[in-house]
Formats: sequence, C-alpha cells, structure tokens
Amino acid sequence: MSNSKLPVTVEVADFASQIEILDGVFRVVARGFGQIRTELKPGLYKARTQVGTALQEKMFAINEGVTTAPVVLDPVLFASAAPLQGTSTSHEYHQHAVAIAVDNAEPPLILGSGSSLLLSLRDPGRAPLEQTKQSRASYARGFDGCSLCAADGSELINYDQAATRDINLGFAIRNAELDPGHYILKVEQVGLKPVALPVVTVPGWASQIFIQVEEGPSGAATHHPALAEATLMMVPLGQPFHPGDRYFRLTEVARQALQRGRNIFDRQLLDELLDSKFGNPVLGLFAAHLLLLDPQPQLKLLRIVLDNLDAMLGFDFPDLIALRRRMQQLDPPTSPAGIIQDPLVFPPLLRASWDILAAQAMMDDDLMPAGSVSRQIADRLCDNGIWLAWQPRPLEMSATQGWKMLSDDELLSKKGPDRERILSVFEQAEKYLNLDSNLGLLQVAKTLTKPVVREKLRQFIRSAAASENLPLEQLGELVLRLAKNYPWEKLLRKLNELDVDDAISERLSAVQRTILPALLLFRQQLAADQDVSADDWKQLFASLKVPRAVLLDNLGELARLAAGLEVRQAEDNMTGLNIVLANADHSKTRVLQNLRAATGLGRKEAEELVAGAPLTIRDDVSKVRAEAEVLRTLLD
Amino acid sequence: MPRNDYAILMGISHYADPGFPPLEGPPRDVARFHQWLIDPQGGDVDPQQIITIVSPTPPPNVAPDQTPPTFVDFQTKFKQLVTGGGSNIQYHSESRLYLYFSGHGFCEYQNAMPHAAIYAANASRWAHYNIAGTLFALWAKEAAVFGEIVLVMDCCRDAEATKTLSPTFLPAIANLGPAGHVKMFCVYAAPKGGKAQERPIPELNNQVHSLLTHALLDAFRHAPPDEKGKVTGQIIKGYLEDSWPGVCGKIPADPPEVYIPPNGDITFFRQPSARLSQKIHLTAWLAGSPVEIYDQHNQLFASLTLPETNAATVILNWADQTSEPVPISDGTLNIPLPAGFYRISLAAGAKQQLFQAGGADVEL
Repeated sequence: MSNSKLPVTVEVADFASQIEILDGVFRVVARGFGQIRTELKPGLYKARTQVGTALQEKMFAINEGVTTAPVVLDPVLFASAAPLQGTSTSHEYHQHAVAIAVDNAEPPLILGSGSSLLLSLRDPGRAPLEQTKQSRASYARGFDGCSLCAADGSELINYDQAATRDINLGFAIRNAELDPGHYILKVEQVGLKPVALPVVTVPGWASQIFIQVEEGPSGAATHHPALAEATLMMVPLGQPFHPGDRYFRLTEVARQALQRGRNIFDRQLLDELLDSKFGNPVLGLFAAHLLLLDPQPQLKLLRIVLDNLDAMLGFDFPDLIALRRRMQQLDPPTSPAGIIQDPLVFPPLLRASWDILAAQAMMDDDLMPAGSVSRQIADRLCDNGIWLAWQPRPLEMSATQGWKMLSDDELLSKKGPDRERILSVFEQAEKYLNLDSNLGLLQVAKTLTKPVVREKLRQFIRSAAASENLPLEQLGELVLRLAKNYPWEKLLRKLNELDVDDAISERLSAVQRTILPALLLFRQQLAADQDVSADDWKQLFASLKVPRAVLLDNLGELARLAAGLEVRQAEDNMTGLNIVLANADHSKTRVLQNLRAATGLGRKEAEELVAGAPLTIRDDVSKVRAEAEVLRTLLD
Repeated sequence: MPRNDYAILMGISHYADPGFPPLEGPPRDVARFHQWLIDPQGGDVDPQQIITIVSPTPPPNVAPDQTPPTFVDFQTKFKQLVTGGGSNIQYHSESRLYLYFSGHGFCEYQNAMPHAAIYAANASRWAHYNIAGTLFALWAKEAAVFGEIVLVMDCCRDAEATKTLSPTFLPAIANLGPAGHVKMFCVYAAPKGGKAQERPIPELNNQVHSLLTHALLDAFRHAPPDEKGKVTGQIIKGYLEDSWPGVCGKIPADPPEVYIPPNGDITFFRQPSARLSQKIHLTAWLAGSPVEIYDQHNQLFASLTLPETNAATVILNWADQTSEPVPISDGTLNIPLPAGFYRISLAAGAKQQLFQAGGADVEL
C-alpha cells in the first residue's frame, strides 16, 4: 500500500456547517467548515456534517492513481425558531408573515424612530392544524404573555393586543419602530415562571426576535414560548426579509455551536466573515464568543471582530463591553490610558457576555453601578440557554405568611437586647414555679422566642451593614458566621416542609440557592473539627459571580430567612407541649405582675400574652421544670 | 498478565425528593459495567478490587436527608480505596482506576472545565448534595494515586446557574509534579447543558438501560484496533460518536462527550474486537461469481464465490488464508466483520459499494 497522500475536496452543499472526515478506525483525520481541501492516504473514509442532532454523512474512497471527485454532502436540515429556508421548521406561510411585518405591509407600531424590533412567535409543528374548536382557545394561550417594557419596567407594548395573530397557522407577530436603547422583553404565562430578557436596539439596525412556541413538558396540554431556543437576527433598517440569507443560516449554526460550547468556525470562514463585515452583527457576537472558547484564542482575529462590531453596534453595546474587558484580560493594554472601565448599566444579550462581567464584578464595584438594571438583576438570573434571562420581579420573602420577616430598620432600631430578657425569664423560672405562679410561662416563652432569634439576626445585620463593599475576607467571615449561627440542617427540613404550601423555593435568588448547600457543607466541616479555609469560601464566591453588594444583600436575606424559619420551627416544636403549671394562684393581676417583672414587657403586651395562654394546673412541678428546660434548649 | 486495576461503581436510582423521579437504569447499568470489568476479554479487573455502591432495594425507611447512597457513603469508600484504610495514600502508579457514576446529575453553568456531578440520594431542592465525579477523578490525578483514570459520568449535565459541585473534602495535594504523568480518560453522557437518557433497549429484552452505558459497552466490544493493534481512547471516542445516531434510532438524544488524555492516549485492549453482523443482499444472484470485500486500506480482506441459489452456506476466505462458512438466506449473505469501512465488489468490480460494518444492509 502506498503511503503517498492524494488530494480530495469535501464540502457541504450550502457551505454552512462543520465537516469531519473519519478514517477506518473512526479517528477524525480532517475537520473544517463548509469545505475541506485536504490530502489523504488511499483508503476508505467517511465525511459527516452535523448541526444540533441533525446529521448528514457519506462514505468515499481514495484510490491510488485516480482523481477523487469532490465529495458533496447534502445540507443539514436543522430546526430554527426563524422560518429560514433549508431548515426542518420552515413554512412559506410563516416566511410570508415575517415578510409582511418587516416590509411594513402591515404598519408597525410607532413608539420612536431610528431602530426597530420585530417579535415573532410561531409554532412550526402540526399543532396549529390539529386544534379543535374546544382546544383552540387553550392552545392560543401559548402565544400570550409577551410584553416589551422600558428599562425602568414600564410597559410599552402588550403583544397580546398588539400582535397580528393567526392561530390556525400558528403565529403571532408585530414589528415596532423604537428609539435606539435598552428594553426588556417579558414573558409571563399562567403556570410558568415569568422571565425577562434584555433587548438592545441600535441606530440604523432592525432587531428580529424569533421564538418557537412548543408543547409544554411531558404531556402538558399547554404550549409555551421556548425562550432558550430563541433566535435573534439584526439586519440594516429597512432591509426586506430574506429567508434564504446565508448569514441567517450561519448565525443559527453559530448559535447552536455556542450552545454546545464548541467552536466550529475555522480561520477561513472567519476571514470570509470579516471581509463581508457580518451581514448580521449577532453572528459577530457569536463568532467572538466562539473564538473565546479556544484554549488559546486568536487575539488578532478577535480584535478585528470587536472593531467591526464597535462600528456596527456602538461602543456601549453591553455585550461589547464584556468582550472588550475579556480582550483586555487576554491582551493587557500597554498604557493605563488604554484600560477600559465602562460600567455595565444594562445587561448584555448573551449569558456568556454576562459571565465575563460577573466574574469581574466581585472585585470591581463600579462595573455594575448601584441602581442599574445590571445590579438589580444580578441575583435573579435564570437558566435560558445561551441568552441571558432573569426573573422580572424582585423576590419577596416578607410576604410569606407564618414567619414574617423583620425589616433591617426594625431590627436595627430595637433598643434592648431581647436575648437578655428572655434568658432572664428562664433564670427565674424555677422561682416562679416555686411561688406557684399560674403564669402562662411556656406560652410567654414561645412568644418571646422571636425576640431571641431576632437578636441573633440583628447582630448579623449590624455586622453586615457597615459597608456595602466589604473586603472579601470580611464577606468570608460573614458566610462562616451565617453557617455557624443557624442550625441549617433543621431549618432546611422545615423549609422543605413549608415549601409544599408556601412555594418558598420560587422566592430564593440564584445566589441564595448556591450559598445554602455551601452553608450546610461548611457546618459539616466545622462539626467534624475541620477548618473551613479561605479557599473554600473563595471558591464559593467565584461561583456566585455577583457584585459584593449583591452578595451582602443575599447574606442578609439568608439570615432573615434563617431567623424566620427558626421562629417557625420553635413554635411548631412547642405546639405539642402542654402548658403545665403548678398549683396556682388564678389572679390575673398577679400573673401580669409576674410577667412584666420578669420580661420588662409593657402592660398591653403582657395582657395580650396572658389572654392567649392556655393553662393547665397540675401538682407535678418536676414535669413543669422539665418542660421549661426543653424550651431553654430550643431557645439556645 | 492481568492488570492490577481498581474500580468504584455508583448507581443511584431512588431519591428522597420526589423532584428526582426514580430511575430504572442505574442498578442495571452498574451491573453491566461490573460484568464488563470482570470479564477477562473486557476490563479484566479482579472482582475483589471493585467497589459497588447502589441504591438499596427496597428503599430504607429513613429520614429523607439520610437516604442512601449519600455523599459520605461514596467519599468514605473512595478514601478507603486510596488509603487502604490507613492514614496515608497508597500509590498504584501502574494501575488504572475506573470511576463510574449513574443517576440524575448536573454541571455548573459558569464552569468551563468539562465536569459533572450526580445528585446524592438525599439531595433536595435546598440541599444539592452531590458527588462530583470529575472532582474525585481530578483529585486522584493530582495525587497521582493511579497511573490511569477512566471516568464515566452517565448522568444529565443540566447547566445549573444555581448549583455548585460539592468539594471532595480530600487533603490538598502539595506536589503536583507526578500528576503530569497520570492519564485521565473521561466520558460524559451529554454535552454541557444536555440530557442523558435511559430507555428500553431492544437487544436487551426491552429492559430500560442508559443509552450511554449501552453504547459505551458496545464500543468497548466492537471498536477496531489501530495499525498497532491497540484500541485506544481516541478509537473508543470515534466509535462511540459514530455509532451514537444508530444507538438512538428514531428518537435522537444529546450525544456523549469524550475527552482523551492530553498527555498521551490510553490503551483499552490489545485483542481483536468482536465482529459485527453485516447483511449483504444480492439483487441478482450470479452463481460462480466472485464477491470480494476490501478493508479500510482498500486491501482485499475476504472473498467468496457465490454458490447455487439453494445453498444454505458459503465458504468465506479471509485474507490471512483462514476460512469459515457464512449463512445464506433469501439471497442475503450474513457476514461477520470487524467494525470499520469496507468496499464490496461483485463480479470483478461490475458492481461495487462502500459500506460500514454493522450498519444498514448492503443492496448490491
């Protein structure tokens, strides 16, 4: 067998997906994008191309002394939320609907000028055709719930009213002319968590968001917008819709590659893209992030991509702020004047861009300024594929019934140390019992549990409130205090229990969910007499990726959560206890006197407590003492 | 001489939290992997050196946060393996460690390193107790306890922005020098953000098994050796990726991800792989005509002469001068071939076709 190699060309018919060539033992011997020109030893090979899970492959032979004809693979039919030609989810009637909206055959909403936003919701499956009279209304709700808001949250467009719909063909669509700027797309449907996504419109460019409506998870009857698979295109303002546009297809291939975390673009393709300056700047954003996936990114190429994107999207485009900062890390500027310190006032479109910035936010207090949308959403992010998304409403713990939280002001303004007061009750408990008091002591103690916990919380908040930008070491100490102060194992069991009715889990931020298991692990380490090292909490902070002020807020919230749960737990544990008192004097005045003397409570508060205290009179004083001891343990 | 290898296999099928639906595959897949490990033609591992941790059946009546197997259950066994029950690490630098995990799992969204963790059976929505198989494998690599590590994470890799890997709580390794020689081969059931799947497998009496373990064991059995007679990690990776669409059938599934050691590949076998059955249907049966099969190098691999149509078998002559009878039925030859690419030629090239062994039937 000859070892001399022979030339061969392998290409995919639309030149828009990655190709691999395998040898006879399944090793990849060549890889490229769109077209590969290579040399191979005589033998048998297989060429394949893949986008997502869609695949095309073809075997071919290289024979000595014979010129091998080009091996051409058919285009891969992949799914796309946009009605692009050559995809498995394209319909002419959906393409027509987009063309009408984009070409302004149907007048757009006029809310400004200089940029535009198209929102397309469509179901490319068979569901629109299979609906009955009975099911149509329910199915149509899958297209509901979208609204466009200004950056301050005020609603600008309610697509339920504004969109043109044809449910029989499975689409809802509307174009709007807008002032260039920052907007928020909200999607709120019954039974689904509300989600918000950033929208940035740019002077001279039309943004087009395509969202596929699909059936709900496993057998759910309702349909919903699949936001994680959404497609974004940007084209020059006024450009008609071309469903066969090569850049649209490349953008979709790049989106799927980014989703898989694999750079599929080769140098040749990037050069080509750079020459044509990206017919769609979103492709440029994807290309930049794909370049960054390489272990050693091609910085020269990346810089050209960023310069091109700067010219198209503007220097302050949020994703570009992120990419330039990353570039700066990889290739530090030679002079201080070249250092980029732009703040991020509005979140970027891509999660990968956010991650670049969030990794720096812990150490750069100016990156996400106080009051900015970026700061507000930093702990509310939710999973949404490659796109950044967050829960649109702030998380409100205080609304939960049964274990209402106290505000920081309320906590900080309290004068006396409640812990001292409650402990004094128990110090005198025996005396009271010996005096045959008929005080509803256990009930009083139950009520006063809250002040004890409150004091613990107050101390935590005080230490945390000193500064919003504490050094990392102090934040680490706070985390350890939080771990030590509260019996998280028990509290989380209680939380699980309450979650059934109260759905508390929905109100925890992403940051809190990450910290909670770490607190448990730190407690386990401490219980095993192992130190929690600085490396441990640094690792935790690195995974959180939020500004320090946001972390501090979340630690406070967790302390409040713990306090609320501790009260609830103490109360529930006491529910089964009989309030048993020794042979008693039933005089109400005497009870009140004793109570006020022991606790320092006001008359009104003491009367309320006594009025609510169930009493059982028994001679078995030792049992009463034992029960008081139980309470003391609970409170400690 | 058999290798002195070790393994820990973990399969979690029952979870305390109803948010994690029970799985059918993990205990069966652990059993299948175990079977392959102890097979002299497979992993050839001493059964005494394999630790198996699976969900007890029936699930014990314990508090949800104590539901076994827990993180501690695994960590204790792992520590025992690497220390031999003592206080110091016992080194097995000539040995391979297999770490196999099957169950519900996830990976960290922000973490660019290839990794995954399976949830411990006592995990809940609040306490994401997990066993980060990757971190244990990396620790074993950094500590250079074993010469080679094979990590199989047969679990989902939901990219979670809100969950973190549990640390190993193993001592930090000060001297990372020897780790440079340790080779680590990793298989993940899905790409980051992807889903692993279990489903009824027709070849296994429609019992529910994980797709990855099924495909991986198939690759171990059938992947062809290279020019030096070795079935390497690279070949296992290539075979697995290539066979995946066929394993999935009509219902696609996220493809597995395989990572070859960057410091040199590992060798799984030095023995011929099992053969795959290939049906070759001849549309026109020309008795007396030669049929030749050429291998990936375009070299003659096997040949036969078509007998009369009523023959039940035909003698297949291999290129190494050996021969064996192969069955004929309804004009179809059933030829056993090692995995790979072939060219079949009928009547001195009058008709020929390229095909992949074990793939679609060849119509000639």
